[in-house]
Amino acid sequence: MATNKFHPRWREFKFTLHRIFRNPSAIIGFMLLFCFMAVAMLAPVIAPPKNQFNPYMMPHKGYSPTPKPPSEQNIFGTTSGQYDIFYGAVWGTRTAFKIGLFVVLIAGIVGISLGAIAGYYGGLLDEILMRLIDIMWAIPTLVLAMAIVVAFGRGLDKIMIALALVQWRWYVRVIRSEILTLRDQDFVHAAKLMGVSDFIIITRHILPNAIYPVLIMASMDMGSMVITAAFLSFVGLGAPKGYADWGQMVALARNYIVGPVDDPLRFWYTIVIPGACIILFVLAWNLIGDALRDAFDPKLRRR
Amino acid sequence: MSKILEITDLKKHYPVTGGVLQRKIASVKALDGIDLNIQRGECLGLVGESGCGKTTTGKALVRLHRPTEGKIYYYASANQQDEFKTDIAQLHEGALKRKGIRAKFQMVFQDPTTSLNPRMLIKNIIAEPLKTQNSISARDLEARVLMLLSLVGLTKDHYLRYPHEFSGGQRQRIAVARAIATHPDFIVLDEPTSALDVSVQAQILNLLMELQQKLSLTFLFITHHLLVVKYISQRLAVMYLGKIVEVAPTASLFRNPLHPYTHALLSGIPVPDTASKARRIVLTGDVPSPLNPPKACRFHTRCPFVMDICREKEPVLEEVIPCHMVACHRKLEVEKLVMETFGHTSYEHADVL
Amino acid sequence: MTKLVQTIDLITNFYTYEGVVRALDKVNLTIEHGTTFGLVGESGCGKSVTVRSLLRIIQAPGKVEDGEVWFFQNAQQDTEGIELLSQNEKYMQALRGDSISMIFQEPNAALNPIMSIGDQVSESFLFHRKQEMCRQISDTLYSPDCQIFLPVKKLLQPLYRLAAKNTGAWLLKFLSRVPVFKYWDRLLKREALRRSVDIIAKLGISNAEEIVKSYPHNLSGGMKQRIVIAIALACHPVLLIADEATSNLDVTIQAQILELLRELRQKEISSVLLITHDLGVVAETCDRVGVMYAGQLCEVANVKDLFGNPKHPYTQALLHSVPRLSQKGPLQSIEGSVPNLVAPPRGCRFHPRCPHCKEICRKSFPMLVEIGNHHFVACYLWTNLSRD
Repeated sequence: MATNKFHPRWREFKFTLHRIFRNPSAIIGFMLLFCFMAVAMLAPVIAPPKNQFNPYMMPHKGYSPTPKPPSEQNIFGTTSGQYDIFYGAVWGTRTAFKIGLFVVLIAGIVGISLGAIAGYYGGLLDEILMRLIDIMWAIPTLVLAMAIVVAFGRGLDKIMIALALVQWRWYVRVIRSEILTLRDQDFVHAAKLMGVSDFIIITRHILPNAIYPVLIMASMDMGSMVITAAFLSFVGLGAPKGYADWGQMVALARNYIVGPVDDPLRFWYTIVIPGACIILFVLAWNLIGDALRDAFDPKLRRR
Repeated sequence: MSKILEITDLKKHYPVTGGVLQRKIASVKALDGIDLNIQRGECLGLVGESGCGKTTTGKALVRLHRPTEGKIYYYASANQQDEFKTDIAQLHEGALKRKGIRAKFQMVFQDPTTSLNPRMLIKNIIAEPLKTQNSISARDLEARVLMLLSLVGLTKDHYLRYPHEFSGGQRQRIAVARAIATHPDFIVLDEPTSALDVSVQAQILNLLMELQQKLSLTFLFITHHLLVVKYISQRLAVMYLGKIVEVAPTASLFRNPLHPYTHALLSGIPVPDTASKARRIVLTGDVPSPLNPPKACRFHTRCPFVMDICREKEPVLEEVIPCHMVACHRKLEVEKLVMETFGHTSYEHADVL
Repeated sequence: MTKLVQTIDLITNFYTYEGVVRALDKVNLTIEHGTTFGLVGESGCGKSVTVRSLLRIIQAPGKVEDGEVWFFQNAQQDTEGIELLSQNEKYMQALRGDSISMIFQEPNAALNPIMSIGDQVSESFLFHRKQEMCRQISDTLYSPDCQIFLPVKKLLQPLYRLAAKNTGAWLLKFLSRVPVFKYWDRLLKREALRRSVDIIAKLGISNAEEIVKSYPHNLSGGMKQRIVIAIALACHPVLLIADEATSNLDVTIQAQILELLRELRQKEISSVLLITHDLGVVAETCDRVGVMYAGQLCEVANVKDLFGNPKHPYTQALLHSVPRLSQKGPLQSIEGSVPNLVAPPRGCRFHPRCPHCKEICRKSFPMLVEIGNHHFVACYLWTNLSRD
């Protein structure tokens, strides 16, 4: 038996950590994530805001559409409209976290609670909820997101709401299927026999055992939601012009992806820097998600 | 002896739906009319093959599901007065809790790896029924949990642990501790030792017998292992395909089984002894599907002594010798028939070393 | 008696988070031709690990560290043994299911739910007996009373002759991908199916022709276990390993399967290695018994000696802890629980639970010694511990 010096929950946590970090991709993922988090937290130090009231607005000197290469003043250069790429990349990290966390939290909470109710009680309630979700499934994500943005106006908050609205259906399905198998486990029967109320059965007995697939999905979603938001920004439905958002920055560089004929790579910095930010951010979360999946694999979990 | 439970005509049918409209097209008759009395303080063994409805009976008695038909009368006190008996067969969840049935009826499951929540500490697992049933202060709770742990032979070292840190036998002890936490009257033991090793099985059986004495519990011991049930229980009920075919005191059943199916079961036990051999009654075929059980006597498809009447009329459970009830048309001849065909009738001293 | 399988100082470890689990520690097991050998012990004592090690099917964190496994296929002499641990994987694949086959505990897991029974049994023939079947078919094709349409026959004759020589010929592989021509092996499959029906019928299943067309979910548990046995017996193995083959079955079905195994012993298979925790099953079916405890063999004896005169304190305790029909008085249990094999007790692994433990038991592990009449015991105190 393991050492008994520590509280069992701590021992359990250590074991989970051991499982996660046995996987080299997890180490890379968490390191990347750590970097992004550091940048997001230290954003005001790294890139002091010029605009006191809205630090998310990228500072720009001039309106020239031609990007400028990296220099003393703008270490990553400037993009079209003379927005500072460095500032955008730093503050864009905060935006990315905002989008990811908001969407995953809202979708997760809604999805888990609805899925838990549908799965645990079953019957007519389940039937109605599932048919409702079937209808939701019939609407393509981007079309729904665009419709919401068109209806309520442009803005990052609208995108976040739109994405949360389309994303929760995934969580319902996953948590429901987990609960359907857990519902008939003996420990749930035992709890019922003791007269434990349904709410406590769900929250204490079922959800802690059903939550892992959701955690894995949530970490993957953190990345994919940022990509979708970036896409919406790219097509012009997202953040207002000048907002520090990686998708927006790629959109600004749209016309400079390929430079003049004699020097096609002249404006590389306009597209590579925000693009790399998006890719690394998504990669970090996907690596973490993969590592979690391996660590929480129920077949391998118990030694 | 006074009754604690009186079961009359208990049925559990699971609907089988089909077609576009999900209409009921058939039903699985898991229990099809069970009549049984359970005496206060006894250990009644319920034996039969898998799929015969043993576990369904157990779960119906503790009301893990609602039986389709029938009555389960619970006598809350030892003096047999009718005003104290309640029919718990159709009560709602709220009423069960209010009348204290949930505290008085408990169950121990077959596999302790699945019956203990893997994410809860032992302390919380055992404390849960206590906290649910009545409000109790944290200090009392801890004292009570530690008392329960010592009662099942575990120590304070085991208090802050997760179930996976224990061996199978210790986990089953924890499950037993949880079941006895609320001072229950009646515990259904659903194959509590079949997931355990031989040496540990004996520990758990002895623990259960000790607890029964100490806490004056009533057990319904569900198993397919006849040697185990012979050791622990005073009375036996044999089930076949949703029906009870024989009920008798254990000694009487082993000395003088009256149903051909009981004979087959008893002779099928592999005995840990090399002296006794070649006396087995091997039944042909498998247990028929409860979706479409044979008409009349359900055992007639596999019975070695089948007659025409067995295919036409269903035998009723009747008392043949005092306390020994059997449902078979040829109950009085079975002994002779088995003697003629297989050369022995008693399983009591088959393995004298 | 001649040896069939012999393991010498077999050591298998599992590398887990908690440390190295010493699942097998110097197991010396000898199984003879023509016996039913029962391997008993509690779960986690290494029964299954032993046979998995000797078949080399130990999974991921586990590894066979040391030791030798000798396999003597020929019943007449035990000189031409093959050391299995040094063979390559291809050799082992050909061996498994052919000379040594295995039945698992759970028939549901052993059968593929989307393949018909006939296909699953045929698979075993097609894998291990392809060449022989091709030869047989080519013989019938050349025989004068073959009734196949002449051009087709002319085409098939060289193909099967080729297949009889070399089943993996490139031409055959190529043909198997060409439309229409890929049906050249129809005769082969038909032959495999015919053999499957034969073997299923041999196991006392009356309607074998219908059974081969059905799927696992159509069959009951006992029937499925028979099919699993049929697959295992398909190639007439020298050794059949039954890993808890009857533990999940009901008493009456278990009786059927045990009866079947006993019948098969007399005509089909020479040796059986029965792994079980049920002492009753061992007493009824086996000739020789090995008792394992915590990764080591502690007693090997003929079944009569073991049940009548057990020498090792663990065997004695185990026999006392089983309820019997003639049980009077309380059941004696073995106190404590099976040791954790990450840090097994020093000395004799049973000493913490042994009622007769002496100083020497704590210090060094007793070797398996013969005490007469093929009775082996690993205990220092066996002379003092005759049955009371």
